[in-house]
Amino acid sequence: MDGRFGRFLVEEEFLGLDLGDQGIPSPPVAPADYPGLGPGDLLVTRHRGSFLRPCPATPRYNCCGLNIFHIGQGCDIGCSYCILSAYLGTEAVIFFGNSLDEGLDELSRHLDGELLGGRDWGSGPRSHRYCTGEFTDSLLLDHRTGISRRLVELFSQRPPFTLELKTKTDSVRHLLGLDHGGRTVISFSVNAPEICAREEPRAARLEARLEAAALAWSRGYPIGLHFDPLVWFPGWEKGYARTVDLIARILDPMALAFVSMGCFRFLPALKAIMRATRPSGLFEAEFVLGGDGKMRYPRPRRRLMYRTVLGLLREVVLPGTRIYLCMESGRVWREVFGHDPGTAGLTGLFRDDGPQGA
Amino acid sequence: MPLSPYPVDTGGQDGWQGQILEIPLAGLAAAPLSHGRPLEDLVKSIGELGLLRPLWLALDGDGRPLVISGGRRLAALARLGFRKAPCLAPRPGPGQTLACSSFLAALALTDNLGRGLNQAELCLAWDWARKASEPPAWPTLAGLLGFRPGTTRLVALEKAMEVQGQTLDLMAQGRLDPENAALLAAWTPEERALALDLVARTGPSRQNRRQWLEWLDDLRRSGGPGFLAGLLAGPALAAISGPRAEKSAREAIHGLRFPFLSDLARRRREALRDLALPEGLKIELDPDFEDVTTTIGLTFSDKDSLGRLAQKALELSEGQALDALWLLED
Repeated sequence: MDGRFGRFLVEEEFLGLDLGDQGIPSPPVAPADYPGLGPGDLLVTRHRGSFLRPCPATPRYNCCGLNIFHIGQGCDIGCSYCILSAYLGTEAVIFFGNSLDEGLDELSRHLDGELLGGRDWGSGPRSHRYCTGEFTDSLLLDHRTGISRRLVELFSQRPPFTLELKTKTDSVRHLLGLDHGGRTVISFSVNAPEICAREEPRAARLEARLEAAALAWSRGYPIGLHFDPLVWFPGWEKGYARTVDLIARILDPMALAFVSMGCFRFLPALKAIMRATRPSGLFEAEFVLGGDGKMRYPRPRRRLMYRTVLGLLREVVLPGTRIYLCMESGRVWREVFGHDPGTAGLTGLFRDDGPQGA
Repeated sequence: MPLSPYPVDTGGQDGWQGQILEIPLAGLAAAPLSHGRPLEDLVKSIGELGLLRPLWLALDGDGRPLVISGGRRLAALARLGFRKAPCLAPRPGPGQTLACSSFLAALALTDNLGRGLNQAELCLAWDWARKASEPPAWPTLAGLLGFRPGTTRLVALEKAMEVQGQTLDLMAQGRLDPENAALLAAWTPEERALALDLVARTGPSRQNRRQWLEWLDDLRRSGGPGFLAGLLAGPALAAISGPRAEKSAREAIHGLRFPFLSDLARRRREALRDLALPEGLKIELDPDFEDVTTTIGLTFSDKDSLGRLAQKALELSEGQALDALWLLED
C-alpha cells in the first residue's frame, strides 16, 4: 500500500508525529477545503468534534448498533459503488492526527464508563462493537499511523468491548504479534470475483484478502466477513458461489465471528456524481427508494440475493455463526431468516450480555 | 475595426459612468444573452414611447462595438427602421480599456438580470460571461447569477451549452431544465432529437421530464450504441400523442426501464382482480414493493354495509390472500 500517495500533506501541529516521513507542511484546512485536494493526496489534519459516533442508522431498518471511532475519512481504493468520494468530492485520504492522542483518550474515557449508556447518542440500543472502518478503510494507513496497533492493545484491556478493523486490504502482518485478547475482529469486505475485479480497482485481490484473514486467524484474531454490497449482475449467483467456495477453501470455519450481508444502495443525488467520477454499470439495475432515502434493489430481488447467499454460506460456516443483514426491514428479515430480531435483538448479537454474546 | 471616434474620457474616477453616443446600428452586434423572447411588445413600446434606456456598449475581442445589455432593444430598433441607437459606454478607469472584461461582464449580467433570465438565457449568460472575463472573476460572476462555483447546477449550465438548437428553445419555454440538457449533451444528435421530440409531443411535468430522461439515459448506457434511438423511434414511444400522452409515455418508459417492477405490478393487479373484492372495499399496496404496510379502505353507506365490508376485510387479513399479494413475485 505504501507509495500509492502522491502528496503527503501534514498540518504544522502534526509535523512531529512519526508518520513514516516528514510530509509537506500544509496550512490548516476545513472540510470545505477537501474537494480542492486531488486523488492521491494524503492529508493529516485535526478533527474538530467527537471521535465517537453511532452508525448513521435509520429507524425503519434493523441496525446492529455499531459504534464508530472516527480516525479519518476518505479512501483511495476507488470502488465504483463507494459513496465516500462522492460525499467529499475527492479521493484524497484524510487522517485525523489528533485521533492518536485526543481520540484515544476520548475512547478510553468512553469505554471506562464515563459516557457509557448512550447518553450522548440518544436512547437506542448500542452494541459493544467499535469500528474504525465506516468512513475510511481501517487498515489503509496503518503502516504510517500505527493507530490500529494501539487500538488492539487498548481493547484487549477493555472487555466486554470489541474492536472491529474493517478493510479491503491484506495488510494484517503488523498486527500479528499483538496481544489482542480475542477482543479485536479483523473483518474483510468480500464480493463476487467479477465485482472485486471490475469495481474495486485498488483493493487487494479477493484471494489475498481471504489469505490475510487466514493469517490473522492463525494468530487468534476472530474474522468478520461483509458481503456488502451484494450486487445484482448477470450471473451473480455463480459469482457469489465462487466467493463462498473460496472462503471455504481458504478460511477455517472456526475463524468466523460473523458474516453480514447488505445489498447495493446509494443516495439518489449521488448517482450522477458517482457515474461521472467512476463509470460503472451498477446503476442500470432496477432500484426503488428505501426508507433511509437511499436507492436499493426492489425487495423481492434483495430477498432472493440474501436467501441465495445465505444458503451458500450455511453450507460452509459452522451452525450458530452470526449472520445478519445490514440495514434491512423486519419484513425482509422474516422472509430471509424466518424471524425479525428488531434493532434491539440485532444489537444484542454484538453485546457480551446479549442472548448470543461472544 | 477599432472604434476610433469613440470619445472616452480616460481620466474619470467614477468607474462605470460614461457618455451616451449615437452609434450606427449597422456597426453593432449584441452579446448572446437573450433567447426565446418575442419582440412584439418591445417593438410596440419603443414605437410608442421611444427608447427609454440606452444600450450598454463595450468592445469585443476584435475591438468592435458590442452591446452587452440591450440586445433585444437593438433588434427592436432595427425592426422599427432606426439607423442609429443611443449607447452608453462605460468610462474605463485609469489603465483600463473598453474591451470586455470582468468588470463589464459583471455589469452586463447585473443589468440583464433585471428582466429575469429564462433557463436558456442563464446558460447563455454564464457561457458569455466566462468567455468575456478572466477565471479569477468567475466565482463573482457565478455569484451574480446566484450560483456557487463547482455546484451541480453551474456545471449543468456549462454542459447544457454543449447542445443548443431545440434544447435551448425548450429551455427558454421552461420545458427543459439545464440539468436535463446537460444529460442530453452526452447523447448522439439522433438520440437527442428523438428525445426532445418526445418531450415536445407529450409535455411532461418537470418531475416526469427529469425522471424520463434519467431512465432513458440508463437504457442508453445499458443498451449500447443505437439501442436508445431504436427505442425512441420504436412503436412503444414514437406513436404517443394526444390528451393522455404524458401518462402513456410515462408508463411506456417505466416499462422499458423497469421491466421487473412493471411485471410485478401487472401480476399484482391481476391477483387483486382475482380477489373479486366487493364494491366499497379497496386494497392499496406500496407501488415500490418495499413497504410493509397494506391499506384496506372501506366505503360504506350504513351499518349493514360496514359490517359486511369489515367481515370481508377480516377474512382477508386472516387468510393467505394478502400475503400472496406480497409474495407473488416468488
